[in-house]
Amino acid sequence: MFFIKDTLLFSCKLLTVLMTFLTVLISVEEVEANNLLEMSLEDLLNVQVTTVSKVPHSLLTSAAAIYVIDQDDIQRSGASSIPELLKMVPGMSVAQLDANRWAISGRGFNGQFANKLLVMIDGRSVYTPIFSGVYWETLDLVLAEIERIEVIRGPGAALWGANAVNGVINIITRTAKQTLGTEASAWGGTEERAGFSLMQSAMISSDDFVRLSVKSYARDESQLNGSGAEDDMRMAKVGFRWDHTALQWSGKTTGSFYQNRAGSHFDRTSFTGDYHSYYNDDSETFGGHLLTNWDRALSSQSHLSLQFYYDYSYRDEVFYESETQILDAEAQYRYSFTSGQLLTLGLNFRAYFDDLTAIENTSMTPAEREYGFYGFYLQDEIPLTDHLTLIVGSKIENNDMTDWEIQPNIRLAWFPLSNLTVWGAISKAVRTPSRMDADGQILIKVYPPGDVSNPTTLPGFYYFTGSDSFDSEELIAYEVGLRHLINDNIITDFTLFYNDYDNLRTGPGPDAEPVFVDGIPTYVKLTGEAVNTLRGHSYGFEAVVEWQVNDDWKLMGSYSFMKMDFDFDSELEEFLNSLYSRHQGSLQSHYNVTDNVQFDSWLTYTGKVSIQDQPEIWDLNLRLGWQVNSQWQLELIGQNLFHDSQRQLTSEVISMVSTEIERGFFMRANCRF
Amino acid sequence: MELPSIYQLLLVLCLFFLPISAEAGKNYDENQLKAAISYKVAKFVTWPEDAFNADGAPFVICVFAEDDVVEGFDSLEGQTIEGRTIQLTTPQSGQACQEGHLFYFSERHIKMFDQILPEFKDRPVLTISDMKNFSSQEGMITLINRGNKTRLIINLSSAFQARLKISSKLNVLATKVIRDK
Repeated sequence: MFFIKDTLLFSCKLLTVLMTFLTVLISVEEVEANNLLEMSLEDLLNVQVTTVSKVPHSLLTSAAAIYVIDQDDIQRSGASSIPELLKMVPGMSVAQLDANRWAISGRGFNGQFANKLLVMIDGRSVYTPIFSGVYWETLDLVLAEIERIEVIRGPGAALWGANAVNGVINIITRTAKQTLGTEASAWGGTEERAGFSLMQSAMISSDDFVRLSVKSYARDESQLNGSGAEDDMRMAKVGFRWDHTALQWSGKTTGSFYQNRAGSHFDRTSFTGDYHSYYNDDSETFGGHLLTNWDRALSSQSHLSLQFYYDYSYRDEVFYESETQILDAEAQYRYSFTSGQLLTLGLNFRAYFDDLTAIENTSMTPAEREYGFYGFYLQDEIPLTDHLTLIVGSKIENNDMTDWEIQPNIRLAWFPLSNLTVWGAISKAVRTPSRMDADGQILIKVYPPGDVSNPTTLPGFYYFTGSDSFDSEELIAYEVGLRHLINDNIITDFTLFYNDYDNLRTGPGPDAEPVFVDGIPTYVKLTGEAVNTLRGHSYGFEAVVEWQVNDDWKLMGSYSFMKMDFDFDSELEEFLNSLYSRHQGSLQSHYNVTDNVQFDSWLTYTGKVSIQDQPEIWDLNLRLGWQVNSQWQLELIGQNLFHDSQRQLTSEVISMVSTEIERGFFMRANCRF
Repeated sequence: MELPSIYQLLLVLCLFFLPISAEAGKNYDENQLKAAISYKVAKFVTWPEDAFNADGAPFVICVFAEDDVVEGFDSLEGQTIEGRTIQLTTPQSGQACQEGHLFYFSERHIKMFDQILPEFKDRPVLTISDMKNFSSQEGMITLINRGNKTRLIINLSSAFQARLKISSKLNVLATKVIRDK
């Protein structure tokens, strides 16, 4: 554990440096905020409005590595979907596999089936229990509906439960009251072929507001070996939201329905020739949800909230035809003591009902299963002094796969100044087995005869196979961070993390078994059964600087570094667990050319992914925005401008062929009335 | 690109950024600031006598905005303009604000302005908004956020049409003054 020693040593050094500056800072006496009404107009016009700090106060002081993407960031990024936006968050690996599929993860362990990230929309988990990951192509919203996206790197398990291992993404939509009126957008271009979105909100009584939203679009195919990859996609989505505010109960009710058809290039593999057999197939998905959440103040100090949701999804693709239903209920009670202490208690329950028919290169037994979990959590936020807050909490959960899981955390936030937060956290999180881990089987790789991993004269087909005895993966994370609103123009955020993983999934020493087809030995089936024998650690840091350079120019930069230190037993084990880039960066510039014209640029850097010879990628997005009048806005957007077409990452599963993502241009017209 | 050590880099970053921090920022509520500026701007404006029904009639401010903006204006409660006590209302339509002397529109409620403009065009009502194109839409005072300070754009011709007199002292403080259409 030399690393811990080094970390401690370094932390001491860092603290010394920090203390020196803080002493200087604290001596600058803080002036009481003058009453604005007593100031002259001239003085008022010189008061700096803290626009650079887009984070609400509670987030500025939070003891976690949090990054917030707000509505302004969304609009000025020129992004047309949620995954693209996540590229601005340090520590997030975001790679587009083909025109419609994404590999997204936080702090390493990326892949098409990345499984350590929890994603929620308005409190509803949108990850699938089939592989503990997210089908990003079905996760879509009218972008103007989004209030903000909070991305928390590191474990959030003490509050959100299992699978919030390496990060939590909370997508929070605006209330119907915030979006009163009509907002419409239409776009068209080379990759974002054509699309429109419409959002209509209305007041139905002084306490009730509703919104309807519709979005539909078509995305062009990407490139594969110089020709079209036939992976174009069509998506349609409708949604509604009803907000009710009253003295006693206030609440929101949301619902959605979506349908998606997307092409993809697959490799069904072959026992002969070069062992590949490529073909193209459409996957079809549809689904919907209904959620209701109600909040009531029981007294001036206590609050009760209740939430229920139902989620249905159907997916027909090359691996499986699947139907998943989720039923979830949660109750939360908050009590704020006069001392400032805040106690949160929660109870939750979730049931999954799925039906999976294995199609190509997979199997699943049993095909139908009902499973779920129930649990409770407790979090206590204790202000120790005016400048020090302690947060302790734990989630205790019982699930059908691994029984009881306890996921505690302890966080300490120190506010030496009103604009400075120094925090530290130690937390435990687990990833409970997915259906794949327990009951599934999937072809991962084909080894030609004579390969180091296959000394036989037949091709070796490596299948990863689930196991009933597969246990939860565990993480203990150590984090320290610093968030500083340096002045009204600059905010910085640094986080240092050390993740200690144990019981990670792997499928070592495959059982080899020759398979006969028509009496002829045709291939060797290599089966690696899921076990929890992989352990190791990763560490790194993430930095964010936002700088309002002058009245019309804002720069936002982020950089992250990470390294994994694992003793892998095999090449395949390393391949499956090492999809990450050591260095990643993003630099955004928002420039107001005139009052009505905006010019925004966004440079991203993703370091090489050594394990699969994926070279580093520099890329650039540009956006020109013109506010024609109070109602109309026109945008011209260029995406992935540095490459004609470029592969961003190769899927960890042989059946899924990754393609080259092309440069794209599109025009978008937005109208509000 | 291999870094010498992540810690060294972090240290350099800290050293680089922390010294700039001597100027700690005061946290003003953005909406209270907008309210205060609107209030101060109104002090530079003279309303025609017939704008008020009676001698003791209040100065009515209609705020067309989200709740948090309205809360910012609550800080004006009890203050006076033109020697009259401020009365705040948050109407849902122009009809509900017939007695208004100052209308404030947030960016998200700008459609209200478009709706009621024809009716109030020649009435002595000072219109203020933080919507970017407000002045070119015949709005009188635009509060624009340039970087992180508030700037004023004044549309004198709209104010003139509404028989409001804007003091030249206010024009001096404005970034831009629109005199003719």
